[in-house]
Amino acid sequence: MPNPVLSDLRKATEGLLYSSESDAPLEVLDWTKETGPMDGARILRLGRLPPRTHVEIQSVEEFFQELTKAEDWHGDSEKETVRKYRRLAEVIRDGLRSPKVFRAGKVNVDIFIVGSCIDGGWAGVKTKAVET
Amino acid sequence: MLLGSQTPRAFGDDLNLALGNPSQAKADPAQKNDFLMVKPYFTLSYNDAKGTPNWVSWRLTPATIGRAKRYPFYPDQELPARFARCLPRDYTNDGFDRGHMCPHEDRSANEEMSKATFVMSNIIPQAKVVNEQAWKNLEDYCRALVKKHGKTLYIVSGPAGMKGQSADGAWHDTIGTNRKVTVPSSCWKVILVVDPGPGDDLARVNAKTRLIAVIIPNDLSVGSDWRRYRRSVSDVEKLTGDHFFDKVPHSIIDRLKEKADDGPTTT
Repeated sequence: MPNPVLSDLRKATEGLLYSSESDAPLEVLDWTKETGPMDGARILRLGRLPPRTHVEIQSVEEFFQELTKAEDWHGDSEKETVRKYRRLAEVIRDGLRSPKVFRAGKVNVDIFIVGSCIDGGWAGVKTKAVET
Repeated sequence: MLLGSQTPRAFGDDLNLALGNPSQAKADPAQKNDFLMVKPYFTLSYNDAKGTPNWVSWRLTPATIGRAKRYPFYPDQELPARFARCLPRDYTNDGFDRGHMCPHEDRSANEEMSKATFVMSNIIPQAKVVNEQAWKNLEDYCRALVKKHGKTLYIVSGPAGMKGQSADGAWHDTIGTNRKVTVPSSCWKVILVVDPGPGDDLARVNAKTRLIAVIIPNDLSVGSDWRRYRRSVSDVEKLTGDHFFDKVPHSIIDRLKEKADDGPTTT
């Protein structure tokens, strides 16, 4: 039976962009067949990144903090983005256990938000940031 | 010196433009394309027609470099009423990075100054390879001069011209959805390096003072080596029509402006 959180994540990330110095789509990570613990080294292997890439761990709360805030200058487009990020945060919070954010690399950063699924395995979303 | 113990205005007013106002910009809303904005952590001249700064000027010391986090970009709400603000989404999917003039890391000692650098009037459309390679490497070099060698830097940076190359290879004069933003054909930076000490930094500028300047094309030909793009400060003045470091006596600064830096660049 397909994992419902994957479908929820797909709906929540459709049309959503992660903005840094650039803009990147968010893709759903289906690692539901992966068993065992998840750590930085495993993320690099699964993400097909060089094994010595620098990895930092961030909390999901910190990741979503600014993204889910309404600002007084927001127009309709920005308000819609905030709504979508609030929904995505909800899906991750409700559908995954102990989700964490893994940030791999510098300047061009691969971001993996990953948590474990109730029936086993892992899932989440990934995106990219440019940070100079 | 702890930043938190000074009022932001005292820090910004006196020091970020201490060596001169490159275009004699004034805070006069009628001067829409050379509008002076003295902000707490850097000073800039804003160009409303372009939707970018003409130049951004700041002083770099170890006190302003730290580990404060990044913020989302936001429009400048201090622009006068009839100006057309640039929004972060004016850059979305147009193939150019939101390129900082005053870098986030140069103002990372606390959250307030870090956030200040994400205002859109500090940003230009920059070709990806420029923003992520050569330009970044020069920014890193400046911070190394300050952190490892204890220097104080006066830096002015800005765009020039129109037409740059996006990530897919196409050439663009402008980008933007909410408003048009001019894509520059080059990005420039001028740097004056001085040793810190008591009293005014200006008094310590002399015939041996190091000036570094670059003009980097805003296209995909640019790699990681900023040193290839070193020019004289005079070259940048001819490109932009600005006059840099004009508070320094002519007898000292004029000769320094004629030569491209050829100093060591490893730290």
